[in-house]
Amino acid sequence: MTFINPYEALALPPDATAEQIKATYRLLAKRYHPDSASNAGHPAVLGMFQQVTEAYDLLSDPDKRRKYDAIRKLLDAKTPDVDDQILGNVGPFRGPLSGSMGSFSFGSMHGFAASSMFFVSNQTVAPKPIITNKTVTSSGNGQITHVSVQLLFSAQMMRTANFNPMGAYAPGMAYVENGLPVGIITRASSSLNLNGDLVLDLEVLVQVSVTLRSQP
Amino acid sequence: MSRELIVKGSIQDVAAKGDVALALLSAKVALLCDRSSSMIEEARGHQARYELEDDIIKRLQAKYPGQVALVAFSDTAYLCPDGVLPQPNGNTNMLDALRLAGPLADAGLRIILITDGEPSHAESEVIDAARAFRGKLDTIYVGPELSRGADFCKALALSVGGTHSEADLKHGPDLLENNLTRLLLTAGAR
Repeated sequence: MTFINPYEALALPPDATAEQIKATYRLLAKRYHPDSASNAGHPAVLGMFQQVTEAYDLLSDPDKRRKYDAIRKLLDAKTPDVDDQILGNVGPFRGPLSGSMGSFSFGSMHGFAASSMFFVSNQTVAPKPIITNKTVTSSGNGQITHVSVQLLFSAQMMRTANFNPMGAYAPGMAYVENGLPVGIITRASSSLNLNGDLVLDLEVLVQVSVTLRSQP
Repeated sequence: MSRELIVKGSIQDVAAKGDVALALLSAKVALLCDRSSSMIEEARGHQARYELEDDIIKRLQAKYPGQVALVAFSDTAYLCPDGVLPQPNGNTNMLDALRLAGPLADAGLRIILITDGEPSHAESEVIDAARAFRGKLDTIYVGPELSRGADFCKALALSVGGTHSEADLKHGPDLLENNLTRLLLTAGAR
């Protein structure tokens, strides 16, 4: 069983209203619906449909959502002594910088907000990375498009921000540009360049009707 | 403090790279584990009470993956999703443990208090906190026989319709494991 944060599955902030949840679910369910001809032959898309449906089932039920939120709050609560115990390697650059990036999904990692461009923790606004490369590859049927994006978080940026970008760019999470969820991250890897900057290479699955805009 | 990484079968182990809060919602029981200083006392052979408790709880997590949530309490209480309980130290703040267990009980988890002592707060306060639960609270006393702590645990469980058992770790750690397994298996299909 996979445990996908329902807010992240819908690319919504934890304080999203019932109306926002419903509207976002309708949008994403339509986009990833298995009966859609454009999704044929893309098992990853069908998995996304299941994810958004499960997320909606939980968040659209006030009682389930209240229980879930209460437990999230328990996990987010920190005491100085147990901070490291609970958060493990969550802090910036304390974990491995290569390989899978999906292991940072609790503690201060909650709070992915679709309304702002990038991941926002409880107190910290995340820095904006520089998009250093973007390549678009059509799947051939003209409907589904893979986009390779390379983001750069400068070493200076990371020193001055209490932010771990790896938690915000894990496979299965929404990729957001300019406040809009434009696709789902299907692959992610990270490395450090010679300057100590963090470089993230992402593969994002989007529909061709969505226009990816470059960072200003 | 040196700690193991993640215990096999713990909530975090089962959640893997996913959402720990969702994994907690799927658990059956939450064990409120007393990690106050008294748990350091030798119980059997060269092992302290807490070491015996640790062994049992690790086995349970491995046997019932994702079903056992852990809350440790001493001066304060906190969740241990990685399945690793801290070294014993400090007081017996049952009040904080019950406060933290409230949302877990509300989510349908069976709450089981394991302790060898009396609460640091007034007993009436602790009983009131337990009464605020939605659901029962079971208690397992693991200290020496004929103590005030055992009497309190019994009163606490009975006040909220839960069960009480005693499993003095000095005489029979197996009893604790058996009691926990029984409670886990009767926690209901979820």
